[in-house]
Amino acid sequence: MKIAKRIIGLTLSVCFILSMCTFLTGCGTSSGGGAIEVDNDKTQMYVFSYNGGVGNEWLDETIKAFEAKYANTSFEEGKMGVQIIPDKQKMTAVSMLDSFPNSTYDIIFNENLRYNDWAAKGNLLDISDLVKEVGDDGKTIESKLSDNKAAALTARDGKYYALPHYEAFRGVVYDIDLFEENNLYFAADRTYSDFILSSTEQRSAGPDGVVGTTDDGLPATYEEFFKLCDYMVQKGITPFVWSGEQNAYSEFLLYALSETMAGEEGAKLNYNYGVGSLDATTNIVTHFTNGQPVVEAMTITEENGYLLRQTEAKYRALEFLFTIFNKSDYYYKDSMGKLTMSNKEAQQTYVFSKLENKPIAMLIEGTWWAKEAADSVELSISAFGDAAKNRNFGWMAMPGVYSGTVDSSNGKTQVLNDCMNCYCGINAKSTGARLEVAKLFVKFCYSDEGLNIFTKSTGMLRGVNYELTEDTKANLSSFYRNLIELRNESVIITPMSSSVLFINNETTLTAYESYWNSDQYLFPVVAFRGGQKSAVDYFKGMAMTQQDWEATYGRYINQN
Amino acid sequence: MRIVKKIPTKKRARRQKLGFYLSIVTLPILQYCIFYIGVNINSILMAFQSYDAMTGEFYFDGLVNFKRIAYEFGKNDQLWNALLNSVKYYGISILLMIATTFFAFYVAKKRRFSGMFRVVAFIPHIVSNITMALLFKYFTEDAYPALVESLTGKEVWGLLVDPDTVYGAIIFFCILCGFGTQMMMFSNAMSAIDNSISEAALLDGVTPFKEFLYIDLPMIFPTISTFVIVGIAGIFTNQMSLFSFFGVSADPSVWTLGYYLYKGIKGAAMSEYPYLAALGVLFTLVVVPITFLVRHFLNKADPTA
Amino acid sequence: MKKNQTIRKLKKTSSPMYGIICTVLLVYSLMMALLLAWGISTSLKHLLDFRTNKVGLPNMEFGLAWENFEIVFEKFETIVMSGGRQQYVNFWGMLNNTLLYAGVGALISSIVPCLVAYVCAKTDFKFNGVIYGIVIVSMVLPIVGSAPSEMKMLKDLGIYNTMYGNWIQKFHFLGMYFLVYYAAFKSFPNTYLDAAYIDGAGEWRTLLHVTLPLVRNTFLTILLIRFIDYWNDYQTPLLYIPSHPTLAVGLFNLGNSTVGELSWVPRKVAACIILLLPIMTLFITFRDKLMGSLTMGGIKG
Repeated sequence: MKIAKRIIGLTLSVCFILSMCTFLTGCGTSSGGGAIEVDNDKTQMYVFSYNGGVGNEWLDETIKAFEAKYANTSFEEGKMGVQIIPDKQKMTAVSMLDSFPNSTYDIIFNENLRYNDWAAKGNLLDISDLVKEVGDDGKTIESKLSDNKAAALTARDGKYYALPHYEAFRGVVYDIDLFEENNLYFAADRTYSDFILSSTEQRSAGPDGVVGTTDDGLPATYEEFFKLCDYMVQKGITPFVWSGEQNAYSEFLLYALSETMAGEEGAKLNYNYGVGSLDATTNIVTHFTNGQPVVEAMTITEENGYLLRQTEAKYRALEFLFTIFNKSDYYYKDSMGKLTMSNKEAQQTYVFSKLENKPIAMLIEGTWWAKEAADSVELSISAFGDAAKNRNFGWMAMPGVYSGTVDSSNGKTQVLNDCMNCYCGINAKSTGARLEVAKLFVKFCYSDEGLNIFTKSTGMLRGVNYELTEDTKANLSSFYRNLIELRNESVIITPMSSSVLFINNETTLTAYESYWNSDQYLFPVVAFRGGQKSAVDYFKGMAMTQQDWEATYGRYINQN
Repeated sequence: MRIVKKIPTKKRARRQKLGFYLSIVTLPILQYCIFYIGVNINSILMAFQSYDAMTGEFYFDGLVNFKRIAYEFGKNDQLWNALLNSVKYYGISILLMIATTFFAFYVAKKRRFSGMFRVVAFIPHIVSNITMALLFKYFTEDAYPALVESLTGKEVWGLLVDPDTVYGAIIFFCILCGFGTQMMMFSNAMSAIDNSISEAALLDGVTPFKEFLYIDLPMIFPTISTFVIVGIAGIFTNQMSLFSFFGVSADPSVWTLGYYLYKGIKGAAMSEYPYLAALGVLFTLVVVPITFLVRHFLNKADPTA
Repeated sequence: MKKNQTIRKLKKTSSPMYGIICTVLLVYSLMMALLLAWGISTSLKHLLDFRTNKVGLPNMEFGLAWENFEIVFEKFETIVMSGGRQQYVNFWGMLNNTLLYAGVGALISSIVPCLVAYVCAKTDFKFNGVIYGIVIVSMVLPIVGSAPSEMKMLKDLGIYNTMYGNWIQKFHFLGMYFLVYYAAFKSFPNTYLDAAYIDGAGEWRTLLHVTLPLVRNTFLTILLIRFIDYWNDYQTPLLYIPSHPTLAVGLFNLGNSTVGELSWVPRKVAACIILLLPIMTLFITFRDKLMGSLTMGGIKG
């Protein structure tokens, strides 16, 4: 007993002393990012950059180029050159909303930054002058913004408070090698077969109905998509895999499908509620007859915004998802049948599938997947050698039409939603030489030189339009090359608008994309698992009454 | 030379004792006043309040929180389902407890391998719930389907994701973890029973089952009744490890009231506190009379009384 | 002598009931052992091995993946908000928090009921009845869902999300252990104390040198039980001290983590094993003490 007592006593004493020491010295915590020694001979400027999927190598390279460029410029008396101090953390923009103005950071690059909330808080500097200034490349940043983006950024009060950071879409990745090897493309001539019989055979026009574009041969209608899935199953290929652990992942398919089907103006209605819309008319499901939706074209306004939860595009997307989830041949078993199927595991399963002769054709993901899956690709190379190198993946164009034939008259342009709310802004409290350097740094980041550094390093695009140099293009993976090609043929929308209703309720109106919630379920996948609910039932559960809409948002309606 | 201290007078000694007494009880009593009385009174007050996000203050708002509870219970099946799951689990745990007494008897009688059983049964008690839950989760989701496939060639889903098996799997986990602790408690209680009673019964030729039924079971009745009584409050607090398995995103079909409350508090903004406090007050109002009633009946039925 | 022999013989007599019970318990033990063995085996699997070998022992072609444990020590971290900034709390930081939470917390919640029970049992102040009543009532009265109010109270007092705030929360005498101490103090005669007083010892000295040594076994057992309870608890720290994550909280977060090198199952399981080891060591060392302590008396009104 005595020994036991001593052991416990000693253990606890050690614990206590150790705890107090570490407690007092604050050991065990770090702020992330290595500490950089301040060079007092230079002017410092501090950059916060979210350490997420896009990584931060691009920032190091940009800083290197920027510091070299201004090495001989003096911004403060007695000092020569600049020193940019980066802080690469995982702090989300949401948690920084209140603390940012009083932080040491002059510039922020972050995801999920609610532009309107940040601007309303006065956190961000009005950078309109900077955006409209002609840069070293002879262009203004404004000229590089798409009309949609420029309109969205200035919707608030005509001023720019931030610029798009990186561009990201949700949707489907497809294995181009697998598609090519198995002739999984629709043929232009369907006399003998719906699918091409050799890789040289001419392919169908694809979802956009135009021959010679990136989407040629891909399914143009929902019916064709299922035909393709059946064809894949016939060939021993599993059509889909996705992360079952995070329910939101399976929803990515819903966005991709519904936004393209709704078209540019229809998809934008989810954010502008008809305010400033060129065409606020969209198909609304009024009721169901024999299980089929009966639709009516209606004009959406802020007053009847609740109807957006009942659009035909959303119903068709749900129905599509339901069909996929209820045919076990259509998906990799663990996506539905394993609680621990993480996004990383889904990526790894996808990368390995073809190499292990259990091919999976498509991965439901975001465009950032390739960077995240880099370790899985490396692992596959270590296991399969050359066969695992230089593989070709692409970003799947979604069908925009439910059934029938598609040609240039009814083909749909892809609508890609730059959904991650990634922005770059300058701290409104930044002053003096630091502000001067901050402005120059932002200008540099959005110059052709800075933009190419970013793309070359990340393989991704900033949310602006720019020419890629040959050197940058050569460094891009085949996936990003394919994505950029498709992007250039698509319409890109942003989850923003000038609607007062939206600006004041951005967080709740787009939080977890609330319109996909049903009365009892936050995620369709949970309701569809095991066929617990049908697409029709789920869709009906998504409806919101006019009364609830008015009670919640009434005071913001028609305030523009 | 030995120094003998002056023995204090009675009055002085009393005063010294009082000082000592106060120095020990003052802080704990103060803590009790704040964190028990204060918290519970505040809980009742909060149940009738709402939160103003603009001013950051709570204000009295009548029965608004209770109306919301009625609305939530009336709107959909989630809360009813959670209540049903909680009651169902209580029922199952009572049945299991009765079964456990058999096993406790075996261990208390120090039969074959009982030492090993005691050690194994104790493991879930000392291992963190989150550790057990994660091991179980990965086993059921990764290993179990692979095992079934290799044995039968049939593809199955993980037990925690299949809507047909998820509730059963969670109950199984709770049994796996709870069984040992209960068994140990019962067997320790049985070990405390005077040996001579059991020996006399043995000499009289009583079978082990009868010995269990007529001697051990009645003697540990207070322990059993404690479990039954404590379990009633558990109906409203037991989370069935749902938070460990699913975090805040458990399927509503498996929710329990305890999970609903914890999930609410964990993710809630200040504005949700009054509603959650009202739920707590309501549950307490239900659980207190039931507990007292059950206690009353169990005390009456206690053969050791 | 003969009687004893007969009893011994009778005690060894087998019965079908024992056979069935033994079988069930063996199955139960096997399940527990398999779960733990699977955990250890998985934690030592290479990622490539685990892809195709979810159940079996580690494939020696890949070797034992000790690096899983190294990576856990190196990369296991929890992100918290502290001082308006996001901070990473690494393994050692979480261990530190765990020791503060479990070590100091256990000490407080073992000492306070001990002291209060002592003065209640060994003095004749009328207030003792009130204290005893408080303990009984709080045990009998099942109050549900007071956490929101407690959170608000802590926030109002400015001690929410602080370690010392949590210690204050634990600075109470309520619960079963008060009764255990009370019974222990009541059971030994006052003559020890009187002798100490006559020798000139003051109240504190009597407490420290006479009384506490007499209940040291009970005290150490309670301390140990509390320590294990708090070591394993992740829900309380998650709720009341979110900026001071313990290892159990870290493990909970890790269970939900989907990014980085720790998102793979063998590494998550390795983290489970790491958290398990200290507790298993304590258990093996103090097995008899811990197992014997597990009893529950009936609450009689």
